[in-house]
Amino acid sequence: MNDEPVDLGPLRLSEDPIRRERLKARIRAQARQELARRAARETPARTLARWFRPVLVGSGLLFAHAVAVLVFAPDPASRAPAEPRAAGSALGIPPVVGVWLERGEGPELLDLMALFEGDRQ
Amino acid sequence: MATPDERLVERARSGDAAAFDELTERHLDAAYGLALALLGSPDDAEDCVQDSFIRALERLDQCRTPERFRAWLLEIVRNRALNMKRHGRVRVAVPLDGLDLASGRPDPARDAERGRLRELLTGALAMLTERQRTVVVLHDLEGWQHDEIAEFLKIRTGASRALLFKARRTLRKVLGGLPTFEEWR
Repeated sequence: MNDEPVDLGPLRLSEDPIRRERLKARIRAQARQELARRAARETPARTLARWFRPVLVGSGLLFAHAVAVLVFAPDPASRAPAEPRAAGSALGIPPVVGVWLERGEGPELLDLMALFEGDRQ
Repeated sequence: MATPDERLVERARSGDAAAFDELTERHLDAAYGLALALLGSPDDAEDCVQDSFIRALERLDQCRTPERFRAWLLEIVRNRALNMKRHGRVRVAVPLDGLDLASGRPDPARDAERGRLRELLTGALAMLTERQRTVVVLHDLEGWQHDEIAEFLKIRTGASRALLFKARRTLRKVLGGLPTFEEWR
């Protein structure tokens, strides 16, 4: 059975450039008024507003996120006390001092010398 | 790199004529092909396309997905074409048996030949049912796939294939004695 397509190419608009251009010109002519109306309503404030819209959306999202963190984050008071060693290091105390404190022992002479040597360097 | 449709839509919304021109240039052929498939007459298709572009421009702010401008525009073309048919604002194409086939030989002027061939093909399309014509033009002229046509016409893919087969058979029968487009050239 022959099911070859029939060549409908001549019906294509691009086959007739003159008709195509004429149609485009008709559309252009009719569009002129609407385009002018649109151009006239385009003030600097409107352009700026369009620019700011994404920024506003971004700020809104950031705000919502911040609120969510404040509402759902655990209460700082209920947090477990920090490890003495971690707390010491946060305060700038050398880690080795934290170790002595944890053990409840005093430093050996050699430990103290090593500590001061390290500070000097 | 070509400016994406999205950007052109944005500029056309601000009244940029060059951007609207570019959108017209890009999508004119597809819009015309669809209008021709639905209306069957080149003159009606032109009217439909012109109205559709203007309507699209007027409603450009409602185009929510500017990157899919083409699909949005084709939907406007489709509605416009259906509206024209509903209100009887379409010309009746002259079926081929009403045309003088004896004078279907190449004329000296090439443009006149093309015009004549277009007239013959339009006459042949007028002998198809509306659905057959829509399917054959969308498939054989516009390069749509059967699943796209089926979705567009809300029919099954198999029905689209069957309509195409019948349309081609009728067209071949009607145009059988005529020279091919290549011969006309």
